[in-house]
Amino acid sequence: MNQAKVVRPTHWARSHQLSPVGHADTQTANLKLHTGGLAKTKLRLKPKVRYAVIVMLGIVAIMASQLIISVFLAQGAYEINSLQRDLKESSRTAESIGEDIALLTSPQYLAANATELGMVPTRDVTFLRLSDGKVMGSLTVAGSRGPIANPKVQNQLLNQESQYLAGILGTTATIIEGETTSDSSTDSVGGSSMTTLSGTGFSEVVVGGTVSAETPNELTPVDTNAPIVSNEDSRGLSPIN
Amino acid sequence: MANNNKKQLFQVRRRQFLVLGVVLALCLPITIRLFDLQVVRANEIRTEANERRSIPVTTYGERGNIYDSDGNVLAQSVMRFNITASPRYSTNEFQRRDENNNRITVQREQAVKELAEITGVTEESITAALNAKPDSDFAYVAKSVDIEVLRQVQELGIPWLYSEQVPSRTYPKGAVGGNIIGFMSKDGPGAGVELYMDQCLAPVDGQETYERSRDGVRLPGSTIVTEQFENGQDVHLTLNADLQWYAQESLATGAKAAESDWATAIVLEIETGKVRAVAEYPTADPNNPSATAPETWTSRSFTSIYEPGSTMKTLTLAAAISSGAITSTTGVEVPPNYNFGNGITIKDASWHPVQKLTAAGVMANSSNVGTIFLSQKMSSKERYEYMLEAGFGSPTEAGFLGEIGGIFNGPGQWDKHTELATNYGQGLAVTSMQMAAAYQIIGNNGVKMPVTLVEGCVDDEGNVTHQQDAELQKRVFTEQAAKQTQDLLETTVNSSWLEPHLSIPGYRIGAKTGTAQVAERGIYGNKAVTSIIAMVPMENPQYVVAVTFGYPKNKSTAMVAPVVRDIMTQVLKTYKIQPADSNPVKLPTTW
Repeated sequence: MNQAKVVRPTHWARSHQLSPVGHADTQTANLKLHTGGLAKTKLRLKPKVRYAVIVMLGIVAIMASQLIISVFLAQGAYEINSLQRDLKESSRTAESIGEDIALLTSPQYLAANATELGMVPTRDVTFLRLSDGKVMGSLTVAGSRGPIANPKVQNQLLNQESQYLAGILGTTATIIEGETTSDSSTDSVGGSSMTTLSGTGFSEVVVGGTVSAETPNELTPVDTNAPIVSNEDSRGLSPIN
Repeated sequence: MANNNKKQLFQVRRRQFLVLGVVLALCLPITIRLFDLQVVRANEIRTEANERRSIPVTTYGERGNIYDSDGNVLAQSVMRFNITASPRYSTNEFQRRDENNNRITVQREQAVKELAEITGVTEESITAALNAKPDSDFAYVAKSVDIEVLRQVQELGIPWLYSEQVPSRTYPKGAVGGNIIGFMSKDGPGAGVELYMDQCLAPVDGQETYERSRDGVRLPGSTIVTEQFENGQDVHLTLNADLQWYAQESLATGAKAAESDWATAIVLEIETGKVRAVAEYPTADPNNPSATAPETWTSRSFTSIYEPGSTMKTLTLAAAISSGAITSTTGVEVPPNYNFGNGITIKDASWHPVQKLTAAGVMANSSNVGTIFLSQKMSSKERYEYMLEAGFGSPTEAGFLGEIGGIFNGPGQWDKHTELATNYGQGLAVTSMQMAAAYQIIGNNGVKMPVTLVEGCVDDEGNVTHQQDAELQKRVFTEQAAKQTQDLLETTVNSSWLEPHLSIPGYRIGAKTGTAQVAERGIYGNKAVTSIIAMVPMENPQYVVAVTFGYPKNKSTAMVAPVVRDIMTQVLKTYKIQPADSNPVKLPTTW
């Protein structure tokens, strides 16, 4: 009978310690397998517990993480809901402000404000060349139109009287329907007429100017206390009213 | 010993089978039940569950905006809100916190008063709305309020108030280009670009369902988009809003001064054929569609026809020069009237002795007889073909809603008188846009560009569609002919009574005036259509300005001139056109 000299320390080796190498050994082994003995089962159990524990821990870990993930998911859903509501409110505010801006940049509003400041549109085309400060075109004070009184191009949005609009527009909310401040007497101020035909090759041409009637030679804003002058058109048309 | 083992084995085995049997016996009904629920009744149960929790929602697309050439918004989609109430619950008092954070009880009257103050609706109407059907859950309290008002209402903390969204439209620039833009009513688009570009502008609403928890939060991952919504495309127009506004203001002033029934002013870009301004009088505000008559909701520039009169002479002479029959200095002897045979005598507008006029002189004096003399050096048929090529008789390429092509009969259809009269602009009907477009050809050295009002439709991703067909450009007159005609136009301004009325210091301008008689029931009466079509700068024309007064009491074209000059001044400023660097052309008018 050959006994295995080297005893391998693995479970496999232990349970099959007497691995059948000879006929007699097989019998012994079979007997040992069937009639078992506690010693045998104990040997098999120990290694298996470790695995069972690992598996159980794994299951617990999976369930726990599932629970945690679903908690975060639900929390996330609430956060999304809240952020979406914020987004909706913010974009509504942005839209509302955008509407106000569009209204306040309307030509009717700008013209009304300009008229209130005492500005008048000119008849002439005047350019200021930035590179050398040369004024081109003509600068004829006597050719000014009257202020845009009683504007013909309406904008219903500026006529509304909601409290909100009044808040934005302030006192100019009634400008569109206001009366004209033009003085219909013929009054020519200054009268210097400067006609400059251009030379060759302009580098920059900017600013078609709206020049006020009060200061013929400088492009500065008018003094709002001065009377607004309405010049009668020399061709026989009455001031534009 | 072996027998014992066998017996024991058998017993063990039997026990095992017994246990297994019991387990199976327990499992079977459970399995059957599971199968029944998950497979057999699955759909039924799922539907029931969804119905209880899932919400179908319409997702709204936004209507596209309308912009001008610089990107300024002309028509904008905005959200407004209707404030609704539940009259049934409104009778209860409710509690809320006041400024000092104390709980106070508020009665209905107080709530109504606060509501009235914020929304601008009278207390009486609110109370009436609430009392109309006291048991219903729905009544309108205020309509179409904006977000600021809605927020103020929400801050009141009135529990029986609700709101619903109303997608709306606003037109920030009011009546600027109003009749071109059109308007939106509750039945959809009513006129103008809003109507005929609706296919671009209209959004497609979508559908989605999602599942909702009891406190209203969307369950993650439960959103199913059954149909994706699409925003409408934005429409970009070629109009320059500020120039359009100025043109409308100026036109209204001038047209009123001449006591006209209607008037149009067009600014056409010569190089591209784009319409930079198309002003009308009277005009309409899309924010207030019913405030003006229904006739204001079309564009007369595209849809109203009239006999053009003397402004047609420019085209007649251009055709004659292009055909090689004459040049700008060809001379004719012009009597004040002439019998052309068939009993037809054509007269000039005012008597004059027989004059030796060049083509330039014929134009400057606007002589009907002289124009026919020059035109007869080519065949009528050839003249007619030139006019067809120049766009008369067909609508322009702009495609505006309801645009028409006018009336222009040719050889075979016209009688002798019409054959002669079409030389000087009577006997045919045109729109003011057609006239402006014909002058564009002359300004562009003989090449016609398609008249364009809509630049294109732009979607969310920036793709552009509905652009004008670039293939539509074509040569109508020879370059020589167009340039000589430009000289004729310039001479007309600086050699006639027009000069002081139309001149802009530093600039070379060309123009032609026209006073056309209007036939009512076949008879020419007192009514007239006065117009001036001008272009600037003559060293290299860039813009056509065409102003037309319809049935003015004051029929002098001197009334039209200030409007042309004003609008032209604004065009020069807007497009930064530099003063002339060459001397004006002044052709000899006599020989």
